Amino acid sequence: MTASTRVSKTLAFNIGPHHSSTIGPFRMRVETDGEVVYSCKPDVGYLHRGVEKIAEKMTWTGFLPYTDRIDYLSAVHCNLAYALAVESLAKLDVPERASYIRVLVSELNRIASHLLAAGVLANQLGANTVLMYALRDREKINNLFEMLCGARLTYNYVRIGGVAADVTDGFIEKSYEFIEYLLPKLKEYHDLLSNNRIFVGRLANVGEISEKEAIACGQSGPILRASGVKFDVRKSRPYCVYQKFDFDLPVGSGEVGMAGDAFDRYIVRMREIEQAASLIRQTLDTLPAGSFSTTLPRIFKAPKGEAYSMIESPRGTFGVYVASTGEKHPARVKFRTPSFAVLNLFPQILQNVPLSDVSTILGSLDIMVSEVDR
Amino acid sequence: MTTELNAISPMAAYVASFFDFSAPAWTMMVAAITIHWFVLLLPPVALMGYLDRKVGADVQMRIGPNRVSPFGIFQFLADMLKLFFKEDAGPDAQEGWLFRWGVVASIGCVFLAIGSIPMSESWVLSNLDAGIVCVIAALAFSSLCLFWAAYSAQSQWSVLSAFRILAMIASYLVPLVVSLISPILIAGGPSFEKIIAAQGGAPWKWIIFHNPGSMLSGAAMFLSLQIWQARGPFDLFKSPGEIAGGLAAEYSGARLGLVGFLEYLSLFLASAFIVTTFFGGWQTPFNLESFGRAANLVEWLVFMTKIFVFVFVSTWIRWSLPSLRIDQIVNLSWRILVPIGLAGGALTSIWMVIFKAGGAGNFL
Repeated sequence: MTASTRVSKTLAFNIGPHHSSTIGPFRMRVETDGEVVYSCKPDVGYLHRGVEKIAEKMTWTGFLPYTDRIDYLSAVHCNLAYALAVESLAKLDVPERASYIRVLVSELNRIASHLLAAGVLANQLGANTVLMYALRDREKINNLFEMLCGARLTYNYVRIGGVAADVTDGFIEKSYEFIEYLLPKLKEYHDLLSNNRIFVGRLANVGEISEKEAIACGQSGPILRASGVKFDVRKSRPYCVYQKFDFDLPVGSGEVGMAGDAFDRYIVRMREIEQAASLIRQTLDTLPAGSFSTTLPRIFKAPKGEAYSMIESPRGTFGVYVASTGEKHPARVKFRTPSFAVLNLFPQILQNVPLSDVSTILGSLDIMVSEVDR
Repeated sequence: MTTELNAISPMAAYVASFFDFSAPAWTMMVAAITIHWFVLLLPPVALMGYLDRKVGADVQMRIGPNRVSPFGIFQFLADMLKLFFKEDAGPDAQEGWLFRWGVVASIGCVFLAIGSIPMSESWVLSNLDAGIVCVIAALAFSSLCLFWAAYSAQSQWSVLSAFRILAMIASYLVPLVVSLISPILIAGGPSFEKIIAAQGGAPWKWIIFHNPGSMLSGAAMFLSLQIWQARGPFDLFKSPGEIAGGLAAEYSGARLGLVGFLEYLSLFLASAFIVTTFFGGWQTPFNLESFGRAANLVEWLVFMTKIFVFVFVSTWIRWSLPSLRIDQIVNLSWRILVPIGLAGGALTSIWMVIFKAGGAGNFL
């Protein structure tokens, strides 16, 4: 075929699997007319490890470290969701102190994840300094987790029946210090991003998701709340001891543009950081004494039956379904991951948008590829 | 002979003044170009690369280059050496020489422009009567060379990059030309010699502080030059997040090094251009009569100091702001910079009619 006959009205190309606007190996087949994207097909599976199938060959407790890898930026939540499902199946009682610690660590991890989400979004818009700031603050959380369980990324900290180790006085003190440190630092992010005309201009009215669309496509978490739906598993189906704490749900209201646009998703996450900080302070203030874990039998076998648990991970509703035949290993484990649901949006949200908004939208959706592919 | 040579190239005449014997003019020209390129231009440009990385590292709470030589100053040499020995690969569909030589041609254009900007009283390769016009032409042409390179690479990202370069040319060129009305009016002509003669060493004698109109023009010029450099918040055609680096992604090895070199050379030209037209050029605030020929060195140092202030500001902007979307850049230039530049020119002409061409500094 010669060059002159090679006439096409559209330009088709791949974004990914390795592209600086995708976090992790994630590929999109994009067709554009000049700079305007008119169709976008996500292609997933580059990071598929078959975690759900692996579970069927592992013991109930032995599978826990694998859940860390489902969403390595909020490993605590994956641990917790699985542990809660197994506990409800086995009707295990979790000590109160363990529940408090679970709230504490999951809020710490939520801050870490949201900070990185803001940093990555800024990085995709060319402000990579903010990513460095985010990493700086996230490092403090990693240090806290290192004190707690020795790991900095995949913690394997929440266990079936409790947590892996008790919190120490030093940890509590450092956590208070971290909250004192973080809240003034948030102003830096607002100065660099939220009050920056360029940043607001790039996010306002970009990739807006209406309330109806968000519900229809099964969205959850900050994306759903940014579209104006006040839904959070921590409020509507409280797990651990969330019902005892006082916190708000930030909801997007279209401050700078339409409700549910990229800016709303960004600002909802930033406000959730403040709420998470307040939750951490409340748990630290009211941490009860007692045991941090129940003792499981040497060979743990969940009774026959099935159970489903859902929690609020930084990316949304994280559900775990477990089925047992009474053996020492699960019969079936299924994860409902929030990032996978986000892909439902792609055909609608990435249509007739400028190519430069694709990275903005991807960044604002905060997709975790390891969670999509599992 | 010296006066003849001076008319062609003051720099060559300066070099010739060191020799008693009479050498052919072309040898003096070669010597002048070599010295201009390797002594006056490359060291500051290399320093700019170092400054960019160090300031960027400081902004981001990193350390930056610190391994090669004290404080990592010669990191660029190691980088260049490494890039030079890497494979010179390109996309299969490339249109051969356009892709391979586009970035080199672009560097050539920028160098031509720099040659007509005086770095001191006699350190200028060529004093053109229409120096400003020459520089603007070279600026536009350097972008056009990049367009050829990007378009001939024939990969999707670089084709998008090519179209973005055209949008960028449309964005910076008009506000740039319009904002130069003020200095040309004040100096009475588009030659750099005249523009520098119209200014003085002291800040209140600079064109930027001549009147409110020239201040507006200066602001418009600064921003349009930022757009031309395609650096920092205006990285339209090199945006890594949007078009995967565009043109820069297709180059490898030594040519990739040249893309990086072009960035700093452009930064030098942009800073030198605005310093000369609005901030007094090489003019020193003190009298250099007793210095003889060494006066040129002092003037060059003053000029470089001013340039590095702009380099620092540009680097600062680059590392702290998110980049603009293509429509935001076009909006900025056509709805904000062009009116500001025009208003600046109009205000300057009104001011000159009312105050008989006197600058604000005259009232001090």
